[in-house]
Amino acid sequence: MNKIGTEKIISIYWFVILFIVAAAIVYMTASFYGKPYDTRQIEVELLSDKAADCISYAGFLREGVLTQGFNDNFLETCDINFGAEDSYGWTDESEYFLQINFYDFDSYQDASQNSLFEVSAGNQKLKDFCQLKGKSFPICLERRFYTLDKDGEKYIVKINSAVKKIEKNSQ
Amino acid sequence: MRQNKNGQIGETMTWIVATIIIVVILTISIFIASSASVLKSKIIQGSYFQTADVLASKSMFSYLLTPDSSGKITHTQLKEEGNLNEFNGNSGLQVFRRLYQDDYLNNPNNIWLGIVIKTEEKVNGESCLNEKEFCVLNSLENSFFGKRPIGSRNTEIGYHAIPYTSEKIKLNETHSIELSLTGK
Amino acid sequence: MKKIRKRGNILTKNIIFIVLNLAFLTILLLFLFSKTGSAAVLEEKYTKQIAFMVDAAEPGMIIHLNMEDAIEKAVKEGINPSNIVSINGNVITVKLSGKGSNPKSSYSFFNDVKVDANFDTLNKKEYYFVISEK
Repeated sequence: MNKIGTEKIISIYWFVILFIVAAAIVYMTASFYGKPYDTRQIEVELLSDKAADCISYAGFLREGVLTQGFNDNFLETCDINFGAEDSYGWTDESEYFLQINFYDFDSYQDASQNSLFEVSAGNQKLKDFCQLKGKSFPICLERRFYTLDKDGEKYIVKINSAVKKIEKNSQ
Repeated sequence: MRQNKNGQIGETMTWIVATIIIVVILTISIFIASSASVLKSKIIQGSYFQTADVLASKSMFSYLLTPDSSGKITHTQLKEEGNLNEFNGNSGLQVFRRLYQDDYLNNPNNIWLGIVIKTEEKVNGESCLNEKEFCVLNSLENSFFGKRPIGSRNTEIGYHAIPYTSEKIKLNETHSIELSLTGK
Repeated sequence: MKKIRKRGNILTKNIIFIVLNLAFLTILLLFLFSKTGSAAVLEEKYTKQIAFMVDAAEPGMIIHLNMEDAIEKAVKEGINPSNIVSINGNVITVKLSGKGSNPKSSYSFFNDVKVDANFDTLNKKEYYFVISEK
Protein backbone atom coordinates (compact mmCIF):
# COMPACT_ATOMS: atom_id res chain seq x y z
CA MET A 1 0.00 0.00 0.00
CA ASN A 2 1.26 3.45 -0.84
CA LYS A 3 1.63 5.34 2.51
CA ILE A 4 3.54 8.36 1.19
CA GLY A 5 0.44 10.58 1.24
CA THR A 6 -0.23 10.00 4.96
CA GLU A 7 3.36 10.81 5.91
CA LYS A 8 3.31 14.06 3.91
CA ILE A 9 0.13 15.26 5.64
CA ILE A 10 1.55 14.43 9.05
CA SER A 11 4.80 16.28 8.24
CA ILE A 12 2.89 19.39 7.24
CA TYR A 13 0.76 19.06 10.35
CA TRP A 14 3.88 18.66 12.47
CA PHE A 15 5.23 21.96 11.19
CA VAL A 16 1.90 23.67 11.73
CA ILE A 17 1.99 22.59 15.38
CA LEU A 18 5.61 23.67 15.64
CA PHE A 19 4.72 27.05 14.21
CA ILE A 20 1.84 27.49 16.68
CA VAL A 21 4.09 26.61 19.63
CA ALA A 22 6.82 28.95 18.36
CA ALA A 23 4.28 31.75 17.90
CA ALA A 24 3.08 31.29 21.47
CA ILE A 25 6.67 31.40 22.80
CA VAL A 26 7.39 34.52 20.75
CA TYR A 27 4.21 36.17 22.05
CA MET A 28 5.04 35.34 25.68
CA THR A 29 8.62 36.59 25.30
CA ALA A 30 7.60 39.80 23.55
CA SER A 31 4.87 40.31 26.13
CA PHE A 32 7.27 39.94 29.06
CA TYR A 33 10.22 41.89 27.68
CA GLY A 34 8.00 44.50 26.10
CA LYS A 35 6.66 45.56 29.48
CA PRO A 36 8.74 48.01 31.47
CA TYR A 37 10.19 47.46 34.93
CA ASP A 38 8.15 49.18 37.62
CA THR A 39 10.64 51.11 39.72
CA ARG A 40 8.27 53.64 41.22
CA GLN A 41 8.48 52.13 44.70
CA ILE A 42 12.15 53.08 44.81
CA GLU A 43 11.46 56.50 43.32
CA VAL A 44 8.69 57.36 45.78
CA GLU A 45 10.92 56.34 48.72
CA LEU A 46 13.75 58.52 47.40
CA LEU A 47 11.34 61.44 47.09
CA SER A 48 10.15 60.95 50.65
CA ASP A 49 13.74 60.76 51.94
CA LYS A 50 14.71 63.89 49.99
CA ALA A 51 11.82 65.84 51.53
CA ALA A 52 12.74 64.60 55.01
CA ASP A 53 16.37 65.64 54.54
CA CYS A 54 15.18 69.09 53.54
CA ILE A 55 12.99 69.52 56.62
CA SER A 56 15.16 68.06 59.32
CA TYR A 57 18.91 67.98 59.83
CA ALA A 58 20.94 66.54 62.72
CA GLY A 59 17.79 65.88 64.70
CA PHE A 60 16.29 69.37 64.45
CA LEU A 61 13.85 71.12 62.13
CA ARG A 62 15.67 73.43 59.76
CA GLU A 63 15.20 77.16 60.24
CA GLY A 64 12.16 78.67 58.55
CA VAL A 65 10.38 75.40 57.84
CA LEU A 66 7.17 76.27 59.65
CA THR A 67 6.67 79.54 57.74
CA GLN A 68 4.53 80.51 54.77
CA GLY A 69 7.68 81.40 52.85
CA PHE A 70 8.81 77.79 53.04
CA ASN A 71 5.50 76.62 51.60
CA ASP A 72 5.66 79.14 48.74
CA ASN A 73 9.20 78.22 47.71
CA PHE A 74 9.20 74.64 48.88
CA LEU A 75 10.55 73.01 45.70
CA GLU A 76 13.36 75.54 45.17
CA THR A 77 14.36 75.49 48.83
CA CYS A 78 14.52 71.70 48.85
CA ASP A 79 16.22 71.45 45.42
CA ILE A 80 13.40 69.41 43.95
CA ASN A 81 12.42 69.65 40.30
CA PHE A 82 9.12 68.08 39.24
CA GLY A 83 9.74 68.63 35.52
CA ALA A 84 9.60 65.50 33.37
CA GLU A 85 10.42 64.41 29.83
CA ASP A 86 8.06 65.42 27.06
CA SER A 87 6.48 62.00 26.54
CA TYR A 88 2.90 60.86 26.94
CA GLY A 89 1.83 64.39 27.91
CA TRP A 90 3.95 64.40 31.05
CA THR A 91 4.74 68.08 30.71
CA ASP A 92 1.02 69.01 30.93
CA GLU A 93 0.49 67.74 34.46
CA SER A 94 3.13 66.88 37.01
CA GLU A 95 3.89 63.19 37.51
CA TYR A 96 4.76 63.78 41.17
CA PHE A 97 3.02 64.83 44.34
CA LEU A 98 4.47 65.69 47.73
CA GLN A 99 2.67 66.75 50.90
CA ILE A 100 4.16 67.32 54.34
CA ASN A 101 2.09 67.75 57.49
CA PHE A 102 3.37 68.75 60.91
CA TYR A 103 1.61 67.57 64.09
CA ASP A 104 2.16 68.24 67.75
CA PHE A 105 3.88 65.17 69.18
CA ASP A 106 1.96 64.90 72.43
CA SER A 107 -1.51 65.25 70.94
CA TYR A 108 -0.90 63.20 67.78
CA GLN A 109 -3.39 60.34 67.48
CA ASP A 110 -3.52 59.49 63.80
CA ALA A 111 -3.28 61.06 60.39
CA SER A 112 -6.93 62.07 60.26
CA GLN A 113 -6.53 64.94 62.73
CA ASN A 114 -5.78 68.47 61.57
CA SER A 115 -2.14 69.35 61.25
CA LEU A 116 -0.40 72.41 62.64
CA PHE A 117 1.15 73.23 59.28
CA GLU A 118 1.04 71.83 55.76
CA VAL A 119 3.29 72.09 52.74
CA SER A 120 2.46 70.58 49.37
CA ALA A 121 3.65 70.61 45.76
CA GLY A 122 3.01 68.82 42.50
CA ASN A 123 -0.13 67.26 41.05
CA GLN A 124 -2.78 67.33 43.80
CA LYS A 125 -5.00 64.90 41.87
CA LEU A 126 -2.58 62.05 42.47
CA LYS A 127 -3.44 62.04 46.16
CA ASP A 128 -7.03 61.02 45.39
CA PHE A 129 -5.82 57.85 43.69
CA CYS A 130 -3.64 56.72 46.56
CA GLN A 131 -6.29 54.43 48.03
CA LEU A 132 -6.58 52.54 44.74
CA LYS A 133 -4.20 49.81 43.64
CA GLY A 134 -3.64 48.76 40.07
CA LYS A 135 -1.35 49.27 37.12
CA SER A 136 -3.12 52.45 36.02
CA PHE A 137 -2.76 54.22 39.34
CA PRO A 138 0.14 56.12 40.90
CA ILE A 139 2.34 54.61 43.58
CA CYS A 140 1.97 56.39 46.92
CA LEU A 141 3.89 56.28 50.15
CA GLU A 142 3.08 57.67 53.60
CA ARG A 143 5.90 57.81 56.16
CA ARG A 144 6.34 59.62 59.44
CA PHE A 145 9.21 60.72 61.60
CA TYR A 146 9.82 62.49 64.87
CA THR A 147 11.76 65.73 65.18
CA LEU A 148 12.42 68.68 67.48
CA ASP A 149 12.83 72.36 66.90
CA LYS A 150 15.57 74.44 68.53
CA ASP A 151 13.24 75.36 71.40
CA GLY A 152 12.69 71.71 72.26
CA GLU A 153 9.16 71.54 70.84
CA LYS A 154 8.38 68.04 69.56
CA TYR A 155 6.72 67.29 66.24
CA ILE A 156 5.53 64.34 64.19
CA VAL A 157 6.12 64.99 60.50
CA LYS A 158 4.05 63.02 58.00
CA ILE A 159 5.23 62.86 54.39
CA ASN A 160 2.88 61.75 51.62
CA SER A 161 4.61 61.21 48.30
CA ALA A 162 3.25 59.90 45.00
CA VAL A 163 4.74 59.08 41.60
CA LYS A 164 2.59 58.47 38.52
CA LYS A 165 4.79 57.79 35.43
CA ILE A 166 2.52 54.90 34.49
CA GLU A 167 3.52 54.60 30.83
CA LYS A 168 7.17 53.94 31.64
CA ASN A 169 6.60 51.67 34.60
CA SER A 170 3.52 49.54 34.38
CA GLN A 171 2.11 49.61 30.84
CA MET B 1 -10.10 -18.30 24.39
CA ARG B 2 -11.72 -14.98 23.92
CA GLN B 3 -10.12 -12.98 21.20
CA ASN B 4 -9.55 -9.29 21.55
CA LYS B 5 -11.11 -7.77 18.51
CA ASN B 6 -10.57 -4.11 19.41
CA GLY B 7 -9.13 -2.31 16.44
CA GLN B 8 -6.04 -0.27 16.72
CA ILE B 9 -6.87 3.44 17.06
CA GLY B 10 -5.67 5.29 14.00
CA GLU B 11 -2.73 7.61 14.14
CA THR B 12 -5.09 10.52 13.47
CA MET B 13 -6.71 10.12 16.88
CA THR B 14 -3.28 10.20 18.52
CA TRP B 15 -2.54 13.48 16.79
CA ILE B 16 -5.89 14.94 17.80
CA VAL B 17 -5.28 14.14 21.45
CA ALA B 18 -1.73 15.52 21.18
CA THR B 19 -3.07 18.71 19.60
CA ILE B 20 -5.57 19.20 22.41
CA ILE B 21 -2.86 18.70 25.03
CA ILE B 22 -0.54 21.16 23.25
CA VAL B 23 -3.28 23.78 22.94
CA VAL B 24 -4.23 23.45 26.62
CA ILE B 25 -0.60 23.75 27.77
CA LEU B 26 -0.05 26.76 25.51
CA THR B 27 -3.18 28.48 26.76
CA ILE B 28 -2.12 28.01 30.39
CA SER B 29 1.41 29.26 29.59
CA ILE B 30 0.16 32.36 27.79
CA PHE B 31 -2.20 33.08 30.66
CA ILE B 32 0.59 32.74 33.23
CA ALA B 33 2.97 34.88 31.14
CA SER B 34 0.43 37.69 30.95
CA SER B 35 -0.75 37.42 34.52
CA ALA B 36 0.10 39.71 37.40
CA SER B 37 2.15 37.11 39.27
CA VAL B 38 4.78 37.00 36.56
CA LEU B 39 4.70 40.71 35.98
CA LYS B 40 5.26 41.25 39.69
CA SER B 41 8.82 40.16 38.99
CA LYS B 42 9.09 43.37 36.99
CA ILE B 43 8.35 45.44 40.08
CA ILE B 44 11.72 46.48 41.43
CA GLN B 45 11.87 47.10 45.14
CA GLY B 46 15.55 47.56 45.82
CA SER B 47 17.47 45.05 47.89
CA TYR B 48 15.51 42.22 49.41
CA PHE B 49 16.66 43.10 52.90
CA GLN B 50 16.35 46.83 53.42
CA THR B 51 19.47 47.90 55.27
CA ALA B 52 18.46 51.40 56.33
CA ASP B 53 15.35 53.36 57.18
CA VAL B 54 16.19 57.03 56.69
CA LEU B 55 13.14 58.38 58.48
CA ALA B 56 13.53 56.03 61.44
CA SER B 57 17.16 57.13 61.70
CA LYS B 58 16.09 60.77 61.74
CA SER B 59 13.62 59.96 64.49
CA MET B 60 16.43 58.24 66.40
CA PHE B 61 18.66 61.34 66.26
CA SER B 62 15.82 63.56 67.45
CA TYR B 63 14.91 61.08 70.20
CA LEU B 64 18.47 61.17 71.54
CA LEU B 65 18.39 64.97 71.61
CA THR B 66 15.07 65.11 73.47
CA PRO B 67 15.57 66.68 76.92
CA ASP B 68 13.78 65.62 80.10
CA SER B 69 12.32 68.11 82.58
CA SER B 70 15.78 68.87 83.99
CA GLY B 71 17.14 69.65 80.52
CA LYS B 72 19.33 66.55 80.27
CA ILE B 73 19.13 65.05 76.79
CA THR B 74 18.31 61.37 76.28
CA HIS B 75 21.79 60.52 74.97
CA THR B 76 23.38 61.76 78.20
CA GLN B 77 20.78 59.95 80.31
CA LEU B 78 21.54 56.66 78.56
CA LYS B 79 25.28 57.20 78.80
CA GLU B 80 25.11 57.86 82.54
CA GLU B 81 22.48 55.32 83.54
CA GLY B 82 23.39 52.46 81.21
CA ASN B 83 19.81 51.50 80.27
CA LEU B 84 16.41 53.03 79.50
CA ASN B 85 14.64 54.89 82.33
CA GLU B 86 11.03 55.94 82.85
CA PHE B 87 11.35 59.10 80.76
CA ASN B 88 13.31 57.89 77.75
CA GLY B 89 11.73 54.42 77.80
CA ASN B 90 8.20 55.77 77.54
CA SER B 91 9.34 58.43 75.12
CA GLY B 92 10.90 55.70 72.97
CA LEU B 93 7.65 53.73 72.95
CA GLN B 94 5.74 56.86 71.95
CA VAL B 95 8.12 57.62 69.13
CA PHE B 96 9.09 54.28 67.64
CA ARG B 97 6.18 51.91 68.30
CA ARG B 98 3.62 54.59 67.50
CA LEU B 99 5.27 55.69 64.26
CA TYR B 100 6.77 52.49 62.86
CA GLN B 101 4.79 49.51 64.08
CA ASP B 102 2.51 49.68 61.01
CA ASP B 103 5.49 49.76 58.69
CA TYR B 104 7.02 46.65 60.20
CA LEU B 105 4.31 44.03 59.91
CA ASN B 106 2.17 45.71 62.61
CA ASN B 107 3.91 43.65 65.28
CA PRO B 108 5.07 45.62 68.35
CA ASN B 109 7.82 43.05 68.97
CA ASN B 110 9.40 44.01 65.65
CA ILE B 111 10.40 47.39 67.10
CA TRP B 112 13.20 47.15 69.66
CA LEU B 113 15.16 49.91 71.33
CA GLY B 114 17.86 49.17 73.84
CA ILE B 115 21.49 48.98 74.79
CA VAL B 116 23.90 46.72 72.92
CA ILE B 117 27.37 45.90 74.23
CA LYS B 118 30.37 44.97 72.15
CA THR B 119 32.27 41.98 73.45
CA GLU B 120 35.80 40.86 72.63
CA GLU B 121 34.77 37.48 71.34
CA LYS B 122 33.61 36.06 68.05
CA VAL B 123 30.64 33.68 67.82
CA ASN B 124 33.00 30.71 68.16
CA GLY B 125 34.56 32.09 71.35
CA GLU B 126 37.84 33.20 69.79
CA SER B 127 39.21 36.68 70.33
CA CYS B 128 38.04 39.29 67.82
CA LEU B 129 40.57 41.99 68.68
CA ASN B 130 42.11 41.84 65.20
CA GLU B 131 38.76 41.58 63.44
CA LYS B 132 36.49 43.92 65.36
CA GLU B 133 33.67 43.58 62.86
CA PHE B 134 33.17 39.97 63.97
CA CYS B 135 32.83 40.80 67.69
CA VAL B 136 29.55 39.52 69.12
CA LEU B 137 27.04 42.11 70.34
CA ASN B 138 25.29 41.37 73.62
CA SER B 139 22.19 43.29 74.59
CA LEU B 140 20.46 44.47 77.75
CA GLU B 141 16.81 43.65 78.23
CA ASN B 142 14.61 46.57 79.31
CA SER B 143 11.09 46.81 80.68
CA PHE B 144 9.82 48.87 77.72
CA PHE B 145 10.89 46.90 74.68
CA GLY B 146 11.87 43.58 76.21
CA LYS B 147 14.66 41.44 74.81
CA ARG B 148 16.49 42.08 71.57
CA PRO B 149 14.87 39.95 68.83
CA ILE B 150 16.32 36.50 68.23
CA GLY B 151 17.97 36.02 64.85
CA SER B 152 18.90 39.65 64.42
CA ARG B 153 22.40 40.55 63.44
CA ASN B 154 24.67 39.62 66.32
CA THR B 155 27.93 41.04 64.99
CA GLU B 156 28.73 44.23 63.13
CA ILE B 157 28.70 42.47 59.79
CA GLY B 158 27.02 39.24 60.74
CA TYR B 159 24.38 37.49 58.75
CA HIS B 160 20.74 38.49 58.63
CA ALA B 161 18.56 35.63 59.70
CA ILE B 162 15.55 37.82 59.10
CA PRO B 163 14.90 41.10 57.27
CA TYR B 164 16.31 43.67 59.65
CA THR B 165 17.17 47.36 59.71
CA SER B 166 18.99 49.08 62.52
CA GLU B 167 20.50 52.34 63.66
CA LYS B 168 23.17 52.31 66.35
CA ILE B 169 24.51 55.36 68.11
CA LYS B 170 27.62 55.08 70.27
CA LEU B 171 27.38 55.92 73.97
CA ASN B 172 30.90 54.92 74.95
CA GLU B 173 33.64 52.51 73.86
CA THR B 174 31.55 49.37 74.41
CA HIS B 175 27.93 50.50 74.76
CA SER B 176 25.62 51.75 72.00
CA ILE B 177 21.92 52.49 71.82
CA GLU B 178 20.32 50.50 69.03
CA LEU B 179 16.99 50.80 67.26
CA SER B 180 16.16 47.51 65.60
CA LEU B 181 13.32 47.24 63.05
CA THR B 182 12.46 43.75 61.91
CA GLY B 183 10.51 42.37 59.04
CA LYS B 184 10.72 44.67 55.98
CA MET C 1 23.04 -18.58 -1.74
CA LYS C 2 22.33 -14.96 -2.22
CA LYS C 3 23.95 -12.77 0.46
CA ILE C 4 21.30 -10.87 2.45
CA ARG C 5 22.17 -7.19 2.62
CA LYS C 6 21.25 -5.93 6.04
CA ARG C 7 22.82 -2.51 5.81
CA GLY C 8 20.28 0.15 6.57
CA ASN C 9 19.68 3.20 4.44
CA ILE C 10 19.46 6.71 5.86
CA LEU C 11 16.28 8.06 4.38
CA THR C 12 16.64 11.46 2.73
CA LYS C 13 13.27 12.66 3.85
CA ASN C 14 14.09 11.97 7.49
CA ILE C 15 17.24 14.02 7.22
CA ILE C 16 15.37 16.91 5.67
CA PHE C 17 12.76 16.64 8.40
CA ILE C 18 15.36 16.79 11.18
CA VAL C 19 17.26 19.63 9.53
CA LEU C 20 14.10 21.69 9.14
CA ASN C 21 13.24 21.11 12.80
CA LEU C 22 16.72 22.18 13.91
CA ALA C 23 16.61 25.26 11.71
CA PHE C 24 13.25 26.20 13.17
CA LEU C 25 14.44 25.75 16.74
CA THR C 26 17.64 27.68 16.04
CA ILE C 27 15.71 30.64 14.67
CA LEU C 28 13.43 30.54 17.70
CA LEU C 29 16.35 30.46 20.14
CA LEU C 30 18.10 33.30 18.31
CA PHE C 31 14.98 35.38 18.63
CA LEU C 32 14.70 34.63 22.36
CA PHE C 33 18.34 35.49 23.03
CA SER C 34 18.05 38.69 21.01
CA LYS C 35 15.06 39.80 23.08
CA THR C 36 16.61 39.02 26.46
CA GLY C 37 19.82 40.92 25.78
CA SER C 38 18.30 43.60 23.64
CA ALA C 39 19.35 47.21 23.59
CA ALA C 40 15.89 48.30 24.72
CA VAL C 41 16.11 46.32 27.97
CA LEU C 42 19.56 47.71 28.77
CA GLU C 43 18.51 51.24 27.87
CA GLU C 44 15.61 51.08 30.29
CA LYS C 45 17.75 49.52 33.02
CA TYR C 46 20.52 52.12 32.89
CA THR C 47 18.24 55.09 32.39
CA LYS C 48 16.36 54.32 35.57
CA GLN C 49 19.45 53.29 37.51
CA ILE C 50 21.22 56.56 36.70
CA ALA C 51 18.09 58.61 37.45
CA PHE C 52 17.77 57.06 40.91
CA MET C 53 21.49 57.42 41.60
CA VAL C 54 21.17 61.13 40.86
CA ASP C 55 18.02 61.41 42.99
CA ALA C 56 19.88 59.96 45.96
CA ALA C 57 23.06 62.01 45.36
CA GLU C 58 24.16 65.39 46.69
CA PRO C 59 26.30 68.12 45.14
CA GLY C 60 29.98 67.33 45.42
CA MET C 61 29.61 63.64 44.68
CA ILE C 62 31.23 61.77 41.80
CA ILE C 63 29.54 58.47 41.05
CA HIS C 64 31.11 55.71 38.98
CA LEU C 65 28.82 53.22 37.27
CA ASN C 66 30.00 50.06 35.54
CA MET C 67 28.21 49.92 32.19
CA GLU C 68 30.34 47.31 30.50
CA ASP C 69 27.45 45.39 28.92
CA ALA C 70 25.83 48.57 27.62
CA ILE C 71 29.11 49.90 26.21
CA GLU C 72 29.75 46.60 24.41
CA LYS C 73 26.25 46.69 22.96
CA ALA C 74 26.63 50.30 21.82
CA VAL C 75 29.99 49.62 20.17
CA LYS C 76 28.48 46.66 18.28
CA GLU C 77 25.66 48.91 17.08
CA GLY C 78 28.13 51.55 15.96
CA ILE C 79 27.38 54.10 18.70
CA ASN C 80 30.31 56.11 20.10
CA PRO C 81 30.61 55.18 23.82
CA SER C 82 30.90 58.86 24.74
CA ASN C 83 27.43 59.42 23.32
CA ILE C 84 25.63 56.63 25.21
CA VAL C 85 24.44 58.76 28.13
CA SER C 86 23.16 62.28 27.63
CA ILE C 87 21.52 64.60 30.11
CA ASN C 88 19.18 67.37 29.08
CA GLY C 89 17.90 69.40 32.02
CA ASN C 90 16.66 66.77 34.42
CA VAL C 91 16.13 64.04 31.83
CA ILE C 92 18.57 61.16 31.37
CA THR C 93 18.74 59.47 27.96
CA VAL C 94 20.64 56.26 27.27
CA LYS C 95 21.10 55.34 23.60
CA LEU C 96 22.50 51.96 22.68
CA SER C 97 21.30 51.54 19.12
CA GLY C 98 20.61 53.68 16.12
CA LYS C 99 17.30 51.95 15.36
CA GLY C 100 14.42 54.32 15.97
CA SER C 101 13.60 55.90 19.28
CA ASN C 102 12.68 53.92 22.36
CA PRO C 103 10.46 55.98 24.68
CA LYS C 104 11.75 53.99 27.66
CA SER C 105 15.30 55.17 26.99
CA SER C 106 14.66 58.50 28.78
CA TYR C 107 13.72 59.08 32.39
CA SER C 108 13.57 62.20 34.53
CA PHE C 109 15.03 62.72 37.99
CA PHE C 110 13.61 65.10 40.60
CA ASN C 111 16.84 66.14 42.33
CA ASP C 112 17.48 69.73 41.19
CA VAL C 113 21.22 69.42 40.61
CA LYS C 114 23.59 69.75 37.68
CA VAL C 115 24.83 66.40 36.40
CA ASP C 116 27.71 65.84 33.99
CA ALA C 117 27.96 62.39 32.44
CA ASN C 118 31.42 61.32 31.30
CA PHE C 119 32.68 58.16 29.65
CA ASP C 120 35.76 56.82 31.47
CA THR C 121 38.29 56.70 28.63
CA LEU C 122 40.89 55.00 30.84
CA ASN C 123 39.17 51.75 31.70
CA LYS C 124 36.47 52.03 28.99
CA LYS C 125 33.96 50.10 31.13
CA GLU C 126 32.46 52.87 33.24
CA TYR C 127 30.67 56.14 33.13
CA TYR C 128 31.20 58.66 35.92
CA PHE C 129 28.72 61.33 36.93
CA VAL C 130 29.74 64.59 38.55
CA ILE C 131 26.99 66.06 40.71
CA SER C 132 27.15 69.79 41.38
CA GLU C 133 24.85 72.61 42.41
CA LYS C 134 22.87 74.37 39.73
